[in-house]
This record gives sequence, structure tokens and C-alpha cells, in this order.
Amino acid sequence: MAKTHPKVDVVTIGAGWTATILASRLCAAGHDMVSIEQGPAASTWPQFSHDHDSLRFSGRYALMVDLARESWTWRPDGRAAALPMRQYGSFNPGEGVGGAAVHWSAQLWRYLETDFRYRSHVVERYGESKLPPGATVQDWPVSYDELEPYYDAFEWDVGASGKAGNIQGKIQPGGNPFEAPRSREYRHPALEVTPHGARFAQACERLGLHPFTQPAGIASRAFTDPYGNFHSSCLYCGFCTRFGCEVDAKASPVNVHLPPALATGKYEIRTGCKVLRIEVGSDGRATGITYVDASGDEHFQPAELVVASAFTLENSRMLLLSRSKTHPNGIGNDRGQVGRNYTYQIYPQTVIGVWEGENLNMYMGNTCTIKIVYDFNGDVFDHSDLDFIGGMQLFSEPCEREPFNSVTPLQTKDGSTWGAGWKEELRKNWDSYAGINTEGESIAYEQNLVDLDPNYRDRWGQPLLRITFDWTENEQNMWRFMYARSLEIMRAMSPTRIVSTTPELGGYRIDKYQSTHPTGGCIMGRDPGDSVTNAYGQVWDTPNVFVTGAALFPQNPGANPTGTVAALAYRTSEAIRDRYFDDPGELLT
Amino acid sequence: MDENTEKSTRLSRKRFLGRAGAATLTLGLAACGGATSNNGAESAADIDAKAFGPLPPEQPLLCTVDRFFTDDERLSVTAFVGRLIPGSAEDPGAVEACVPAYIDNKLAQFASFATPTYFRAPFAKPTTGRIPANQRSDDTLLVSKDQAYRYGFQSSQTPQDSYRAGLAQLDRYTRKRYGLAFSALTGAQQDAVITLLESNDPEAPQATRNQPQVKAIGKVFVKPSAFGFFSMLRNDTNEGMFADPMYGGNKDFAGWKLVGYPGAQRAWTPDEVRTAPRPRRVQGLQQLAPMNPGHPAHGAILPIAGSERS
Repeated sequence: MAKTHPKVDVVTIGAGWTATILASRLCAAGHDMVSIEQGPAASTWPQFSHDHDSLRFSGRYALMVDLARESWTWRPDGRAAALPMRQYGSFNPGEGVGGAAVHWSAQLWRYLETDFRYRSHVVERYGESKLPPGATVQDWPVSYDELEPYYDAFEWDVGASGKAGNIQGKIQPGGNPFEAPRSREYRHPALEVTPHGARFAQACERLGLHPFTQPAGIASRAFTDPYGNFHSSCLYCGFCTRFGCEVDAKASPVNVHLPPALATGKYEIRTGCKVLRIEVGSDGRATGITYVDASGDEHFQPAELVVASAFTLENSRMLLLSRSKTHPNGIGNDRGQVGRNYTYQIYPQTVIGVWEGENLNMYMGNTCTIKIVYDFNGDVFDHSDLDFIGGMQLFSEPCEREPFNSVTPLQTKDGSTWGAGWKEELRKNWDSYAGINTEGESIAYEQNLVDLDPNYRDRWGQPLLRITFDWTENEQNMWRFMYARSLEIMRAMSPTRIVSTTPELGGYRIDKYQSTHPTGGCIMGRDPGDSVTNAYGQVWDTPNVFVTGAALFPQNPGANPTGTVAALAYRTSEAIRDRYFDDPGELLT
Repeated sequence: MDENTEKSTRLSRKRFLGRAGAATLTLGLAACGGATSNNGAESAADIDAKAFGPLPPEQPLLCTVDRFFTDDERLSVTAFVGRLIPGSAEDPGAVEACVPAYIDNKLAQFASFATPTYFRAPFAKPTTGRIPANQRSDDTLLVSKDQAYRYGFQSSQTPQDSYRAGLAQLDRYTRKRYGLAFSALTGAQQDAVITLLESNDPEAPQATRNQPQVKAIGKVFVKPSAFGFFSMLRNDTNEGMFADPMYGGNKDFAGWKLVGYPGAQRAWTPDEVRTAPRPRRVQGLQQLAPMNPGHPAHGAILPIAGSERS
């Protein structure tokens, strides 16, 4: 018999960034809110005060979801076996208060204007036939202009560092000239860039491209955020992605939105508790959530409003697991839309070079102390004569290199990665090699989706989420084009030699880390016939359930999701605060 | 990661109020009712630094191999890692850097896995035959042999079992081929055996994998596979050579000095990031003082209680 708690206004699955954003706004407006968090508590001190430990955080994934408890299965297509990701590979969802946004790389982007009207744009510019077979790309139900104020507010709140490329339509030197117009300059100057990034930028300029420094959710100057939290400037320590920041220079839920949420006295987080499902009443509306604490006891937390604010994949799974008489296939799934438009991100390195005798400082800084070109992202370049749609960023290899996991990419001339010859190579060139990286679009296709796995279960006996996903010809063609551009840049960087190349993208594989950017599965749209939620993440068939995060993305642009995830959460929290509770259960328009 | 030791914590509102009240002073937020006098130290004491997995040992581990490996296994592992990163007293390699001790300690410390691992059945069985649609099984799922590498680690063996079985397979192979234990072979012979193990890489060109000797060693190495065994040794060697010395390897920063890594530093200046590091002493976790020991950063108290997992 589950223990029933007193009813609250809002209960969320997980206490990551979108949950703390909601709490910072809704609790300040007098609503009480509870977040059920599967991981432990986290704070800057003491957890991150002694954290320059590569093995613990990067090698043993201290901040990630404990796979011993649950994982995700994957298969390339509907005919192949689906097997679990038994050890970390493709992506690293986090757990604990703050979620993956504690260990994120803080690459902070806005999507391009055309990203939000993807299908319309491609059809208008190139015609319907340009869409790859099976593509299910859609327009977002929200435009860039609608989202701009929320992008701006979030970037300002976290003290983002960067150089604007387009302020109110005026192109700015040194920034990304292809970005959508922003209302003002970044709060802080761009981060420093290491010698590899500088060389990449020089080469790009010679080729007529437009390099700029990675915009970052990392403060290049110390500041106090609008909630009163003090943030040190970045120490360029070299321990950033997969680590918590010990001086709060890297923005996270724990050091931006959580303190003001807690200060209201209206916000509560229950750690070490796993949500099993959203409960539904006979009228088809959600009544609250059932979760289990670590001693195995079940609890029911009733709430007026339920928010699926867990990681992308878990949000889809939670909706699918919440089967009831009124929603027999799960919440949001009355029309079979949950799981559709699962997308990911193209991320591999195209080419690695070595500059013998030079030190590139690759172990300093962070993932954002790099230079990037957007000349081949989105649709900023003409695809008329190309055999693909979509684009990628190309950028200098991220820094914060750690020795234990960075020795094998440095092969000897004959391809060896062990023995006396390799040891000499390491001695000479460990800080002299570096690559060019990509971050590319992932287009939605009818065959790529998530659903519940028939064979594998989690610790509580619930089915794991099954991912069916593979790259298609469109991405293979895009890769070849980007590979050729990368080689041009690499040659212009004049390496002593090229260490290795990746001319073909190949099939998707779950064993190699690429990015923690699984997206889609509970997509937002204008029509209940082709989406799970409306433009606020409000579930069409269960309007007192909201979804937040990248599960809402109809397809994945060529940039990290966090900026857009947060902007959408700002917008949704405002709508819930100002309008939802006036007429609970009605769809927001 | 033992589920019995995982605890959940309910953070009461009263507790939050107290801490939030303390934070209010620093943060200048609107005061809320019911604030008590909890201070930073008290809040911090509630937080478990181990909540996110085990901390490194408090003292560097000794360079001895006597916790998991038998004497024969120790000889094999020592010989093996000594070929992956060869060394001498003047120019340390994996053996001089105590990599065998690192591996021995790791295996002894973790009865199952050091890294988070989903270890529930059904386990994968590679096949060259047809894959039936909609497979349902409690113990085995068939997967295409030529596609298996895309799924990553799918073994049903723990690292302890993989080492024990893999070293026995290695011994069987070298005794059959050379009449000797692996550790008794010449360096060139050892390299030849390691090369064969590596050549079983499912992603290697077919011509490589089809060499008769590569096929032969693949028949001896059933579980773990030849390439699986090689990968395990190589990964653990690189961890031991290049992870912090607190974990037992990388003795006297041998690995870091080899590659020119100055170790865990608290900060790099903007000028150093742009140009080059000023000379610094190579240091590890033991030399790196925790940031703000005993004091929450800047008085900003984050009122979160802890939970723990082993």
C-alpha cells in the first residue's frame, strides 16, 4: 500500500534544469512543488571541491545514471536484436540534483531561425522532393522570434560568455554572422582559446570562412547572477565536461535556479526516489505520481499538475509506462505519437593532425575554449546541388584533455597504439596532436523511434526504453561533404602529418561516446495528429501533464540542446504561472 | 552501487527553510518565515561527498600484486603490460609505474564492475545465421556476428572472471604453441601473441582477421574473446599508467611525465591558455588542496541533504 502524501500544486519527475527553472518561478508565485529525483543530492561544496579526478568522473562516470539500475536498449532497425547499453558509450545522462546540467560542457546555443520552420523552409527553397525518403521533419510550433526573449533571459541569468554575431540584425565582427538576431551582446566576453583553436581560426579565415569562439554557459568574469548567486570566473582548470564546477563558473541548476527556488520554502526535492508512473483518474486527467524510495516503499504524490522533466529518454519512457483505462497506450499516446521523431546528433571527429614540436595546451581550458565555423550548418549554405539536407558545425577539438583516455587516438605512423614505438610517439606528441570535430543535424525519419523493450527490465521490473535508430543515406552524404571541408581546413592548418581520418560516417553505433543529445520522442507541434504536446509542452490528451526538455524537439539541429531546452522551460513556466492555474486542465493557446 | 546501501532522503520543508534562511543573508533574497540558525558547516555535514561513487584511496596504494592475482597470473599480467608500455629503471613503463598493482587493486576492490554496468540477462549470442523477428527470451538473444561490435560491451563475465579465464586461455595458447608460459617467452614472441589478439578486432580488415594464426588464437580465446581480452588489458594499462597515482599506478607520475602532462592543477591563467604553461611541479590529487575546505563557496549555502550509494 503506497503512502499518500499531501497534495501539492506541481510534482516533477527529476530535479534537473527544467524542474529548477519551474520551481524558481512557480514557487516564487506561491505554488508548492515537489521534485522526485532518482539520484543523490549535489552541491558545489563538498561534492565538487576535490574533483580533478579523471578516473572517478570520466573513467567511472560518477555523475551519470547508475546503469546497474537501468539502461536503454538499442537496435539499428526493426529486424535487428535490441541489446542494452551495458556500459557507457553513445550518451551520458546524469543523475542527482541538477541532472546532466551539472556535468554538461556548457556549449550554449540558440537554434537558427530556419531550424524552427524546418519543413516549410526546405520545401519553399528546394521543393518537397528534396526531403529524404521517410523523413518526418516538422516545423516547430514556436518561432525563433517568440523564443528570443527567453533565450536572452536565460543567457543573461547564467552569465553566458561569447561574442554576438548579430545584434538586432546588425552583423558584428568576431561573432557568428549566421546566428539569428539577438537583442543584446553577451553578458561576458568570450572565453580564452587554446593554440589549436587559434590555428583553426587562422586557417578558416584564409579559406574565407567565419570562425568565432564557442558561446558558453561559463563565466569568463566573476559576477553575481540576478538571483544573488555569486559565480567565480572560469579557472580554465581542465576538468569540466563530466565534472561539477568547484567555483560555480560553469552555470548549472545547482548554482543558478535552485537556491532561489529553495529560498521560497515552497520547493522540496526527494532524492534517491524513482518514479514508476504517472497516475490517471477516471476522467483521464493525471492525479499525481507513484514512486518508490530506496528501501522499496511505494509512495503516491498527488498533484494538480505533473511535469515530466527527466532526461529526454526517460520522459518518453514515463509516458509510455503510464498506462491506464483512459490512456491504454500511455499518456500522450492516444494517437500513437509517443516515441516518434527520435533524433540524435552527428558528432565524430573527421580528421586528426599532429604538429610536431608544438604544445597545443589541450589539457587546459574546457570544451568551450575552441573556435567554430557555422558556414556549413543548417541551411546557411546552398544545398541545391548537394545530395543531402542539413548541416554541421565544424570546430577545433575541445580541450580539457585527460591523459588516461586520450592516448590511443595518437597512433604511430603504422597505426600502432602500444609498444615501444607508440611510447615514443606519446613522449613526443601527446600535446601536439588534435583534430577537427563536427556537430551535425539529425533529421527525423519514420523508422527511427523509441518504445518499450520486450526483454529487458530495470531494477523495479519495469521495461527499459528501446531505441531504434540508424543513420541514413542523407547523413552519409552530409558526412562526406563535411569530411572534404574538414580536410581543406586541416591542410590549411599545415600539420606535420595527418594521424587518422574518418572519411565515412558508417552506421550509428552505441558503443562510442558521441553526445548526450538524444532528442525527440514527445515532440511539440500544432496538431495532435502529429505531435504529443502543444507549444508549451502541454500533453494534448492529458492537459495537466507537461513535458519539458529535448524530448519536445521535432528534429535535432546541429547544435547543443541546452539553450533551447532552458528557453522553452522559461516560456512554459511563465505560461503555467500566469495562465494555467486560472483554468487548470485547459489547453494553453 | 549495491542497491541495499542506497538510501533515499526526504528533504523536509522545515529543513529547507532553515537553510534557505541562512542563505538569505548572503543572497539577499526575500526573507521567508521560519528561518532557523542552521549554519553552513551543519548543512555541509549533511552532504555526503561519496554520494557519487567511491572516493580515491586516502593514501596511495602499494606497488604490490597480492590481492587478486595468483603468482602465475601476476607473472603473465606483468609481462603483458610490460610489452604494451615497455620501460626500464631510467625510462619507466607500465611495470615500473606499478600498473600490475593498479589492476590487482581494481579487481580486488570491485567484485563486479568499477564502472556502471547493466548486467541483467538476456545476454547476446553472436551468430552468422538469420536473426528471428521479435525475439523474446529470458537468457539469450541472437545478434548478427558482424554487427555485434556496434552494441559495445555485451559480456556476461565480470572483470574478475574475464581476467581469470582470459589468463588461463593465454597460458593454454602459449603452452600449445611455444611450450612455455607467456611470461617465459621472448619479448618478440610476446609481441607476436599480443598482435594476434589485437588482430581479432571485429573492425579489422577481413584479410587481417582471416590470417590462419589469427583464426587459431580466436579459437582458443572463447570467453573472453581474443580482442576482448586485449582491449581489457590495454584499457586497464592506460588507466593504471595515466590515472592519478592515488589509485596505485602512475608511480612518481611516470605516465604524466612521459606525455608531458603537469597533472591536476587548480587553475591555468588566460595567458597560459593562449600561449604556454609556466613551469609547474607535476602534481596529483594528494598535492591538490580541496577548494574552500570546510567552507561553502562564498557563503552561498545550498540546502540539500544527502543520500548515498556505495
